[in-house]
Amino acid sequence: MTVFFKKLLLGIGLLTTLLLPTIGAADEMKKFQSLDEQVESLKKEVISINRELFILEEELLFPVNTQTFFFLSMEGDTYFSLDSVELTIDGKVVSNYLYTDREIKALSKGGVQRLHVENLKKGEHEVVVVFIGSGPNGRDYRRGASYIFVKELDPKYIELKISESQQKNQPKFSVKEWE
Amino acid sequence: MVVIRLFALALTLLCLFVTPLKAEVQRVNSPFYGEVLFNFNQQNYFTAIVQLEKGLSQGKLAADEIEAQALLGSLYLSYGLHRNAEKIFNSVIEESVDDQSRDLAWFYLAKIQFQRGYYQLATDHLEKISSSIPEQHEDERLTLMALSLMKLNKVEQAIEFLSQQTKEHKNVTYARFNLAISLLKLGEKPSALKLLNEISITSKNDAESAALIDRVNVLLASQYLEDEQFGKASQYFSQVELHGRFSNQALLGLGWSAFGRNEFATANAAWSELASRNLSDASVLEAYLAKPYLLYQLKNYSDSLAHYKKAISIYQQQLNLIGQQLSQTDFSDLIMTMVEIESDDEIGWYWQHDVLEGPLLNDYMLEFISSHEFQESLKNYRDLLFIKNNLSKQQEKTRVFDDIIDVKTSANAENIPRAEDRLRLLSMQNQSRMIQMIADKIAVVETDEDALALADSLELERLHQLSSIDYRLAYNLENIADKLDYVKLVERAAKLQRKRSLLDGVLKWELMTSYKARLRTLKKSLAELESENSASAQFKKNIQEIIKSLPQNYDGHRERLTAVGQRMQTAIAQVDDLVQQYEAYLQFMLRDELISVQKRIEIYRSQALLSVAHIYDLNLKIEVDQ
Repeated sequence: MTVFFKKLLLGIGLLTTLLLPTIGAADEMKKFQSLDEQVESLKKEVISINRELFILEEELLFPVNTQTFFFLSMEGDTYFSLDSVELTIDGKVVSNYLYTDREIKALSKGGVQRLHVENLKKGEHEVVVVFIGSGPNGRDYRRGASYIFVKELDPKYIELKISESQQKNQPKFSVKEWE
Repeated sequence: MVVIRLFALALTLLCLFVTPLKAEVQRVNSPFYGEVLFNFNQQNYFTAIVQLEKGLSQGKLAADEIEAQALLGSLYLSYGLHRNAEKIFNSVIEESVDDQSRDLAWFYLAKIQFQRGYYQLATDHLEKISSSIPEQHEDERLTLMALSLMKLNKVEQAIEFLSQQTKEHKNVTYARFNLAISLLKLGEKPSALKLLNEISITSKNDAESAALIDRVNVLLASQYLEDEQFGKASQYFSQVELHGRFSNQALLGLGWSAFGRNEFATANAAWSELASRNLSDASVLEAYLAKPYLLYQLKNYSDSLAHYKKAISIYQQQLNLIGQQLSQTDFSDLIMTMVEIESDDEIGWYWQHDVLEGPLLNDYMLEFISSHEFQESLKNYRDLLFIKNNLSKQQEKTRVFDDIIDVKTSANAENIPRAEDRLRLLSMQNQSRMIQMIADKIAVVETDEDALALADSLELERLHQLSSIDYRLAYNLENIADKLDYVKLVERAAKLQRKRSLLDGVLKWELMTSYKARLRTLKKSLAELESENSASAQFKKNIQEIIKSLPQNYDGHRERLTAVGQRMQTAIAQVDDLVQQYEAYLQFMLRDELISVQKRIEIYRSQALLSVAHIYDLNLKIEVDQ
């Protein structure tokens, strides 16, 4: 009985947990790989479908000769904590965007947000952007910036930028064409 | 609530790979690459991949091409598309970056491939690494190579690789441990013990390395126990932390080594401590068998019998719980709770182990659920659910696009003819010739300084009236009959002629003095006319360009949309099928694991029942003998 017990206990109790992860792993890995390959091929296809649909969407909704992009960027961490942005084009409010913390972090790390895309006719247009948030001392802060640009028949990229004035220790807001 | 982020590795990869290329705040040249980063920084990896592919195919990321390609390669890796990543690393990075970055790319690729079980591919890529990579990666490279070779059953090569490692490192220790297990499985016990002994004397730098060394000590000790070297076994078991992860195995083994040396009190103490611990551990359950066995050996049959009966009751209780779970638990609900997908959430993914309701699942399954194999499958399942959701939304979009094409087609049918009419009208209104004629006339006037040519209609009429006075006077003088009247008339005529001459002079003088101003005004008007005509020509050109740029019809778009729609249908069917397969696979894995636990406990129960029967027989025999 002693030998029987010892074999039983050593075979199960001690080594089970230690060697368990490798037991039957080969079969499971084969099954996993077979499914994994199918998932991988499906992922590629779905990415391709999404890409094609994004291109179609852009072509249908924003033809090249009228498309005007408004991008918002932030120069690292600034003295200004952004809450929302109000965008007006030719006197008409076209976007009122409220930011999440995640988006603010993404912007402060160099991300650029496509805030709005508009179809604009050839000619002169005015954009007014109001940045709303809190300033250097946590006070409510609301600043505007405007810009007049001429739209030609090629796409136009306008950058709404939040940076900081080193001399004044104040946030700086600007609107310009993306260079 | 304990939340474990399972994308940690992928993120680490991305950070490690992308960071050296860029500072923390990346400066972008193209707004579209900035947009990709905006999504990437929010961990919206799927959208970032789509935007990168789209931007690169449209040439919109040309200004940030290398960074974009590197990021896409890393994102492919993170998203499990290691073949796509490999293509990028092959085609772009190998040609455009330095040796060290290229080697790092191979290293990360191999790491992902190892994780996903593509061991041959992993070794192939590890072998491509030619230059030196940072020390921490170099150790890991050797470890990965050794582990991949072990998985390919090339143990000798694995040993050779590990022997190249001169410095102590957590990963290296782990690789050595795995190698020792492989050697044990191959029956090469002396080599395995040598390796395990080397590991057991390495320093415990942190909790992870301490746990690994505990595990090594238990494995070593159990080998000595099997060889009935109880002293050595006891020595290694004693080195294990009393409340560490492997303390249960150590206590069980310590009891057996004490038992082997007839130190029954020590054995009893170890197993009694063990019996008070959580029942989900195999060692604890075994302690319920070991203790009555000890009593049996001490010939305390009645206590031994009582403890065996208690063990049977506990095993039965556990078996009932497992049976209940197997028959009642809806694993698909459990899996869904684990992946906890939200409609728009692209962020990596999470699972929460406290969703494993009930003590049984929580205790028995936690380790299994945390295992690499199960987690990788769960991750794919989560990705499939995301894809399913995405396709459903995109399908909705295609319907909207179809409507847009309808609207645009009918708008085109109405607007293009109208624009063409306008164009024709503008062509007819071409003023260029007339403007040129006026300009020529002005040039003549200016050359001749012809002030009279700039007289307006009123002035011309007055000049005409004045010039007609002489004629009218001459006529009247010729036709007068009365001589007396004639004399009077001549005098009057002379007076009138003087007046006319004066007025004519005044008028011409005015014309002469205002000549320059009039010429300026005229030239300005001409310039305005030219400008208007030019604007009109530009307008015409614009209309022509717009008409040209507008698709004559949207048949091409419609065809593309139909093709995408068909591909989407196929993908939806595939995703549905794969979701079902994964559900079944994950359920099978969970069920299978629970069944293996059940079988193990059944063995314990059978053993306890046998022992009870044996003691009853023995008692009967004693009674008969008496």
